[in-house]
Amino acid sequence: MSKLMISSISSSIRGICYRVWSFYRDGFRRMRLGRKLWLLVAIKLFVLFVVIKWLFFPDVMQERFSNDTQRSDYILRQLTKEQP
Amino acid sequence: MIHPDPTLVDWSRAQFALTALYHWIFVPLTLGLTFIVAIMETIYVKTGDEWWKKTTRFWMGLLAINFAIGLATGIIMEFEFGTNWSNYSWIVGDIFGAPLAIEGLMAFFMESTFFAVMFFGWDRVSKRFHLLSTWLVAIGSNLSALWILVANGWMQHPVGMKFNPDTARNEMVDFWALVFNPNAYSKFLHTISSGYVLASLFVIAVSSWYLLKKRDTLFARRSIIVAASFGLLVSLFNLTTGDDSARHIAQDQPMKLAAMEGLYDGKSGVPIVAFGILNPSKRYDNHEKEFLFKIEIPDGLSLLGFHSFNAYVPGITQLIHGDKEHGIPSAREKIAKGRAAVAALKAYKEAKKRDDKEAMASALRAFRTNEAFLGYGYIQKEQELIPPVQTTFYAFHTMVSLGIWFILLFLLVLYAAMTNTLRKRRWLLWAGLLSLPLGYLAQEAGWITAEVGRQPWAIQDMLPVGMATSNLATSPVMLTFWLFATLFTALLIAEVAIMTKQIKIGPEGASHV
Repeated sequence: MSKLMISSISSSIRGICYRVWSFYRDGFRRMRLGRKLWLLVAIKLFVLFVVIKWLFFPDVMQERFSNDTQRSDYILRQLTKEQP
Repeated sequence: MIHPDPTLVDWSRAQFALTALYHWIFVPLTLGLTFIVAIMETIYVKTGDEWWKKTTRFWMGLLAINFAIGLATGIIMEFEFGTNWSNYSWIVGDIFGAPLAIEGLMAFFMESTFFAVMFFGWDRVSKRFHLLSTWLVAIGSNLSALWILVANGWMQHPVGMKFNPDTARNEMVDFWALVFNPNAYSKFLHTISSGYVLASLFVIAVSSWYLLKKRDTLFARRSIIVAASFGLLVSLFNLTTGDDSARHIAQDQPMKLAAMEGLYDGKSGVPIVAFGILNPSKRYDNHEKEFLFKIEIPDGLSLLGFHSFNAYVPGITQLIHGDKEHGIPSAREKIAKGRAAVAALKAYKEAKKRDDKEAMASALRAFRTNEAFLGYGYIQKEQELIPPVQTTFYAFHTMVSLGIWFILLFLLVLYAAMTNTLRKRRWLLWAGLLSLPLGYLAQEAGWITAEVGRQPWAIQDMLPVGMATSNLATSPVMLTFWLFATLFTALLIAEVAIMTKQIKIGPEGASHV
């Protein structure tokens, strides 16, 4: 009985997964304008995350200090240094 | 304004402003257009008229273009937080973490899932489920904006947190105070409703173009009826949210209100300037006239800010010199308290190093007494507390004047569309078409008012912009400024080109998104 239930549940999960997969697959296949837009999105994400983020935007606090205590100390030094 | 020899702070500020302003070209159209397509699809589901389905799909196509091109343009600001504004990010980290994480999750689950159903599901799911998905996309994208504006509202009016002098971070003590921050929700409602106004203008402009070209006339007229009705309602709502926003500004950011109105000398029963030309020679410490020319509405500013005709509104001079009669401390007093807070923080840090518990407790008490003025401790001269008055004043008045024009436009266009006289009134069609760039101008002017008007603060009264920036070389910031300017301009050109092509194809020949 329980084996039957497990088998029925697993086949219905497979059915749902297949329906979701085919929904997206057919949707992407039928796209026309969307293909151009996806290409644009992919290029943009590549430029943003690979080129710009990697080359120009390091996380300064992560890069300069190895733990939160050092980061806190640095900010406290900034906040309490004498003003000219 | 970028001058020939800019400082690091100026370039960091300019870069953030550029990113935010470009990002805001894409966002409001998405916020509003999702609701307009949801309304159109609701009409389709209610009437079963296939023609409305075609109309919905056409506008949905334009929404897809705007969404795809605007997607992730805001992520650049997060890069900038980590690099250019690392001091700020560290100090606010705990406060921004929760709203931004919720925003990310909501955006991913609500928009991504139901966006797919909206575009791919026309023939795969039931009409009602498709309609539900369209509405959920509209609601989800607007709720994403809520979390961003909760974070922004906190910077304008920090609540629900406590500064931890051991970690130098603000820690959240009351999540609900953060979420229900009056500044945040009034800003949220004003911002999203302005997005709806822009989307209505967009639909009217594109439809007006069809009518001017004498093509797709029924489609254009029906689209105009939906957009003008929606636009009129949300414009009126926008008036009320603007009023609410102004009231919060009057209470929490009186200097911003004074700059928005070019008000130097405060008094009771202050008029509001309907139109004015500021006197560039006017300063808070001279007796020049405030305006070269102005048209005023009596008692308007008192009414706007405090809902009372006779309410006292402080001007820039009172906010700098103080006004004992009205309980307004001077800038000097605030700076002194701020410096006391900074000194107490330093004493606490040193006592902690010596492990002197008594001195630590005493320093902490002194810090908590003056904590509300901490940011003033980093101000060198009192005039640094005055935001750029000309920019704030003109941006505010541009936004308000255009907002009033849009209400009139929606009324006229709706009347002409309902009486089927639009095609005869070519001037009105031209007005509808040309008002689209004005809609974008109003959007940007609103943000300029909000952000330039709160200078010099990154976090109101707590952290000036100069203290929020990272200690970096200026040249990479300059380089990335121009890089972003190029990238965003390219994206904007791509948006206009793809959008124009799709509009020219029209609703009859629009391809499957």
